[in-house]
Amino acid sequence: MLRLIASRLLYAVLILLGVILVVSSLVKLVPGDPVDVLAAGNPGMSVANMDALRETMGLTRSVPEQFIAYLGGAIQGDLGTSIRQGAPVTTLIMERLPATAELAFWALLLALVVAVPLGVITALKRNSWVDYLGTFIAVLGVSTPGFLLAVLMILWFSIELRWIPASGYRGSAFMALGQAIVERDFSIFWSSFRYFILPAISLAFVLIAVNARLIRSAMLEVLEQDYINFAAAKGVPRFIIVVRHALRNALLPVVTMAGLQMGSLLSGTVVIETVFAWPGIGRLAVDAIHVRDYPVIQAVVIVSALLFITLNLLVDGLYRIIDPRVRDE
Amino acid sequence: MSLNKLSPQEFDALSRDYLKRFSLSRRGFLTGAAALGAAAGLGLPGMAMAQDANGTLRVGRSEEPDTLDPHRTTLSVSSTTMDLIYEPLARRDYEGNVFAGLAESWEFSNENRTLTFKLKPGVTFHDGTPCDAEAVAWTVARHLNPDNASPSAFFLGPLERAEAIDAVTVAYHFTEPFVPVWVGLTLGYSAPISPTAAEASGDQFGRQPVGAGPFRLASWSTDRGIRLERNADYGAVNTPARLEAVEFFHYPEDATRLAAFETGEIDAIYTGGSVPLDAVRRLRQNPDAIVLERPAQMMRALVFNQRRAPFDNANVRKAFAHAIDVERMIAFALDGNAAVATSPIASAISGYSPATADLAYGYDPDAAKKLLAEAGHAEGLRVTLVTNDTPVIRRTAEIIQAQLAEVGVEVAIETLPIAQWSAITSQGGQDMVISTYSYTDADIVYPVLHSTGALNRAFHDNAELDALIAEQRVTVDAAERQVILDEIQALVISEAYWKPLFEPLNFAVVSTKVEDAQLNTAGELRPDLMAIKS
Repeated sequence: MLRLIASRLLYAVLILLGVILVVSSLVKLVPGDPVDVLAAGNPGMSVANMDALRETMGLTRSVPEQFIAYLGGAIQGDLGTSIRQGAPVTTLIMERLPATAELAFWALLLALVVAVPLGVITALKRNSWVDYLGTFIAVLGVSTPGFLLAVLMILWFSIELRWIPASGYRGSAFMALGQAIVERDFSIFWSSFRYFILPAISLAFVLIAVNARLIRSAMLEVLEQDYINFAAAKGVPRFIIVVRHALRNALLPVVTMAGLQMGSLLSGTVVIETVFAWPGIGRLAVDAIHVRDYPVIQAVVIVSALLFITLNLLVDGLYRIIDPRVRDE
Repeated sequence: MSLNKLSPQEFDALSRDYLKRFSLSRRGFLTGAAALGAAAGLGLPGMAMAQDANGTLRVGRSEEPDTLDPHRTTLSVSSTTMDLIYEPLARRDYEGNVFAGLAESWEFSNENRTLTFKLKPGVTFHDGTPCDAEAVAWTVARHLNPDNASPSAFFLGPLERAEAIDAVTVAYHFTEPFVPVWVGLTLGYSAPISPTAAEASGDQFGRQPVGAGPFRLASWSTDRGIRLERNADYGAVNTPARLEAVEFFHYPEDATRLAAFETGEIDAIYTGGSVPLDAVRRLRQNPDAIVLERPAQMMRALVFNQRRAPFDNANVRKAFAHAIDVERMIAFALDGNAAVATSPIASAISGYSPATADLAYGYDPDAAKKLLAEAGHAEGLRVTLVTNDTPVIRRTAEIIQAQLAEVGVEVAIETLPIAQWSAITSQGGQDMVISTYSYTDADIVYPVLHSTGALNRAFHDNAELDALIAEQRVTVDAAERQVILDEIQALVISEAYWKPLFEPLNFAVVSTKVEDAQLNTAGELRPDLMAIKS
């Protein structure tokens, strides 16, 4: 077990190194640097001004030189300083990550809460109208771009009905929940949670579709197993068979999927964060790319890679706990 | 004529005149703005009535400032935010005239290489630090320090240092006389910052800025935006603001920003492209909205790369100029929200030459075909147009593509993000480019048309043009300078170096409960002069 963990960690470090190398070279292969962005908007800046700035910003150094300097810092946890904002990149990311993480949590929660029953019901009522409806929703979910749904929901729920705000983020809903419980005032929670509703639905929609289909096929497979027939023959109530014997096993692939989905949600739900003016790391990355803020771009990619690797490790571990077959291998 | 020979009074007049903007020239304000016009007079400095401050103005913008450290940014959204927090030595009114800010008077000396300011006494920064000559000199030293690599230092021009002479006197020593001195000195970039605060917060100063302006930063967080609160001690400088607070939220997505306005979450949208052009029609019909507009000191043009064939041939350039119907372009790409441009200098900039309108190659596809045939391209040709990814520019490019197709020219459009666009086009990696600038002075011809200019995308080789451009920079007499500027513009248009396209309008939208909203020449509102109906 220890050897396994050690090899996994070594593997993770290698992946990270590769990611840094690829990103830092790719980003610099593309023409244009932060000074080009500055100059494009400032006719008063002369060619001499631009050259002097490049020199002082360290942009004239060669790519390997910059890479080695960056790596040296990264090992000590210093991901550099944002060229545009002058603030340490780690600070910027830590500021934005909670907003993304919480949104990802609510989206995934919503996706699972809807997808699991939907998947089970469509499997049980196979080839009935319920199944067809479920399939229809799934196809719709997979093929509807998240941003389209987002804009439609803003038009309908915010502008037409004025139920929920169109955009923005007003602090963590978890924190608000805590405060609401202490002060026994539910409106505190609502005032911050309502901003999560539309973006979470937009993100969850496609996940619901994918997960529901996944559970449906897993359920169908499991329901044909001998032990299900045996349990039924033994007289175990249908509900118990479905929930305890079938669903538990059918959920296995969902654990993997949910892990990966959480990873991609965490590493920045770029489009949705832009549409809903959500201050997360997806938007941080987009803004940084626009102005060629290299340290920020690199750091967001590295942090995303780190999140993916960590989640993968967690899923692997979880698998070993819930599926004895994997443990034996 | 040397600038050193001018009397200090003349130089002062010249440098201030240099900045004068004729922005209300042609169309003036439309609709809602006109109704506000009379009331807006009340908002001008020195005329504001003593009133109790009340109300919070909530503003939606498309961008968030990167930092509010004036020495670390050149982003315009940061600049306009800083103008509220910091107090520059001088400011500009709605017409672009210079008036006293932190300084109550100034004079040039030492053959116009020294500019000495008398500061208003008793001014303090928001943290209580005295805002005196010492602080001004300290700020300039920080700005010019090469270790700080300030991207905004170029706004100061050839400034060598600032010297505190006594508590309220500070001298700016330039290495040479610098006519556009007010272009930078009236902006937040060059306003004094609190030395105590800057030293205490170090790298974090951009997030905790302390100035002497009409508002102080109360909070700035990624989730709640930026909140500025009224500086009650601003009376030592100018009339204190009537608003209790201003809050800036940023919404990168147009639809979301508009939704926030329509649902009453915000009271105003302005700055840069924050009011989307395709929403103007809808906003004008909204009874709760006042749409303000004003011609921008900005223009967009199609610029031909003369270093490449076929644009080394003047007839081809003229043919292209003839093939484009700008009026139709404005109707389709901008929903009519722009004016036809005729010269490389926007008509809202002093120095614009109206004669260029007669010299232009107007829409005439037959003439275009004929010129192309004469140049040996009767069977058509193929060129690339490199554009950046701004929606309006992209649409403009598509219309150019369609219109040129009618005369047998196939245009391949390459759309690039701004940094890449900038890098590639500055190396001449394009046949044509849609060039944009925003500037306040006719000296814009230097960066965009001089062969060594930082934004020259025509890559021509014309010693005569270069000489004219250099000459207008040092020509003191306004009439004389105009003659040179006329010549420059006539040359560029008749030789079709550029096909000027259009001059955009700046827009702002405010809710009807907002009072005294007026756009300045930069297309900004001035919350320090505005109020909210209670």
